[in-house]
Amino acid sequence: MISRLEEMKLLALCMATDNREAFSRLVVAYQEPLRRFILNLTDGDYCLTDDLSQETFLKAWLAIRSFHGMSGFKTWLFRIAINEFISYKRKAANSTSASDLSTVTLADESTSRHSATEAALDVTVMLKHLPDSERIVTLLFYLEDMPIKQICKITSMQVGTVKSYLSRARAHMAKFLNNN
Amino acid sequence: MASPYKKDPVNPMMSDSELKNIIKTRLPEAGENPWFVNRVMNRLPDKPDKRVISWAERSCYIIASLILVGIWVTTLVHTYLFGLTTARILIAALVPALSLVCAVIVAAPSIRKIIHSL
Repeated sequence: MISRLEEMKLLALCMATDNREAFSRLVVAYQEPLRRFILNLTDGDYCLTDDLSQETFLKAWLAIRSFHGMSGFKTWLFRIAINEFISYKRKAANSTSASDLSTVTLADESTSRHSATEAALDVTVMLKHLPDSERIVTLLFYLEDMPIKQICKITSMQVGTVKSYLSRARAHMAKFLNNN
Repeated sequence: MASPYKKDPVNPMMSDSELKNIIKTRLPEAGENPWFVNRVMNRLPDKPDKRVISWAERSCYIIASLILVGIWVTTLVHTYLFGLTTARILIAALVPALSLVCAVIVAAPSIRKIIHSL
């Protein structure tokens, strides 16, 4: 991890002189948490994770001058990643004509039964059953240890909405863990 | 086999720390990928020069240039007609300085680009 001061210095270099070396240091510093977050968003799909992570960094590079430093670079990066993920999901849903994945919940009995027999206590399966918004908020809060305010900045949601999603996710996860 | 995460059925909600612990310990890690940074860096495109001068900015440049030219002409004419005064010396010093500053501000991005490409 790099210090805030170091991060600001690298960002200034990227903005002022398009310094690739500085950007590569930012990629090195943030690739691990970003890839872990995307990996768990994509149900453990490593190839898709690398694709989305690369796209996220590319978008960040191209738009780095629009980063005003109001939030941290990590917050900004995660926001881009979530947008990339949502856009990927939309494209995938359009191409397969699948129903909206965000509507898949624990109430979906066939999926629950299937998952329960295949991977009883798999936390990945548990997260897979959460709607996208709940999963995003859960991962940011529990996995990335981000405070609610930071999650609000990343997801552009209100504090109450984030808390509500967290509460629902908590109930869903408790139900899943108890059923298994 | 009973689940180690099974809670009291009367109060099945888990605490945040319990959930955090489960999620952190059981979710897969992204793992080391030594090629990742290289792949990202190889895919970085050259940035297009996005300095788009809006019509408002252009208008300001034109108006400022016209005003500068006007001041130059007025100063020269007045100096020729009424002779050299303190005020006119001051204007004669300020106007070139102002012209230079404006020129540098306008020309700076181009100069930076040329230096960067060397």
